[in-house]
Amino acid sequence: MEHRENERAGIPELPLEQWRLGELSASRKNQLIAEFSEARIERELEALERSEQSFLRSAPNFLGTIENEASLPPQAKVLPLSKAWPFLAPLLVAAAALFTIYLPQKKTSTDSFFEDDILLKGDVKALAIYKQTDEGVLALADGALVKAGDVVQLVYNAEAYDYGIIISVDGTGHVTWHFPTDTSQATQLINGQPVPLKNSFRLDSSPRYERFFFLRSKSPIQLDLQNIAAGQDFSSVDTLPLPSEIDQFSFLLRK
Amino acid sequence: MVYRRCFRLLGDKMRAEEAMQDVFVKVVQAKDRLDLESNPGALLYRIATHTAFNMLRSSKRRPEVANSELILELAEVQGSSQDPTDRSFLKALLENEEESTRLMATYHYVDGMTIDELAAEFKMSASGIKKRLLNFKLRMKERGLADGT
Repeated sequence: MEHRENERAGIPELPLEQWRLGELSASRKNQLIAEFSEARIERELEALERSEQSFLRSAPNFLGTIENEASLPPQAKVLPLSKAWPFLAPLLVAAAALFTIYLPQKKTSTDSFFEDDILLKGDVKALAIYKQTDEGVLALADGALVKAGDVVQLVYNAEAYDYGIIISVDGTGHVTWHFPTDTSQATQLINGQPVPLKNSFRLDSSPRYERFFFLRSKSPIQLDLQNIAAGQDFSSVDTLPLPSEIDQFSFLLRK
Repeated sequence: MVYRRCFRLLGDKMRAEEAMQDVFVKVVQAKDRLDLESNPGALLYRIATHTAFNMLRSSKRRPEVANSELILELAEVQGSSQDPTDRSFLKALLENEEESTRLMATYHYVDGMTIDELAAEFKMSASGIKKRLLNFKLRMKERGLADGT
């Protein structure tokens, strides 16, 4: 009966799904890597991602607009999926609002909160983050609590530096580039005043936190930040292992 | 993930979609009783598994057969001499078992999770998991569904 104990043909679904959702502990990940190899696990995770994308292509993109919990429709009819979306979508929105991390979403860009020529009031240090609310734009404090679906805007202040990079690392260890958005572009900053990035973005469903790093330097910055930052836990670590000539500023958003 | 899990157990696109709807109805209706803070993916996976099994159990009026691949896997593991394509085999396997035991048996025999992984998932000791699975196996044997090896 326990022939699968010592030799398993396939990677079990549940830990693989948990890995994909960022729920698997480092120790359990290491156990799976030791048993199945990292390359094989990566292939399986890629297959899951393809499956996910295939499923989402067959359905309306309801998850990208989750902001409020929907009300439950009175009827829970069983219909073919194509006919069931009018009933099913609110249910899924409501459930996804509860399970904010059940399905990782990509960060989505929207227009900036600020006009290009706006002068931001207040003391913007190296990096400030604003959140769009019903009442207007709210400046967030370092360590502020946010949730998936919140729309935030980054504003940087170059101060005495000429070059910069802004990235964030989420609770799954995924690295997102905010400035420049194309890593092949120059990283020259605009000096003189706080500068909003061209786009705000909607926070995704990654768990626990988003740690932003604003790296500034007097000279162009060329770093393999993907290798430096990806997969690391920055929940309580606010610096990257970088050369001392690069100034670092960290900003944490908790989820 | 929910759809994938339902499809794996039910082996039918339409029924997997039905099960997926049921899962989210349950989640919304039971939101006050669910622990949504820790490992929500695992919780969804468990609800999806439970929902798919309930659908299998309550489908005797339906003409479809259950996922034949799943039945074959269970038959292989259980060493049954019965025809594994007989729906009664799977129904007997699923009947009269506590939900948690049914989940454990599925995670172990169908999904290939180890005793240690089950212990972590169900927050039980490894010996407790082994005992539950052993008793499950004995009941299968009593019903003539396993060779007991």
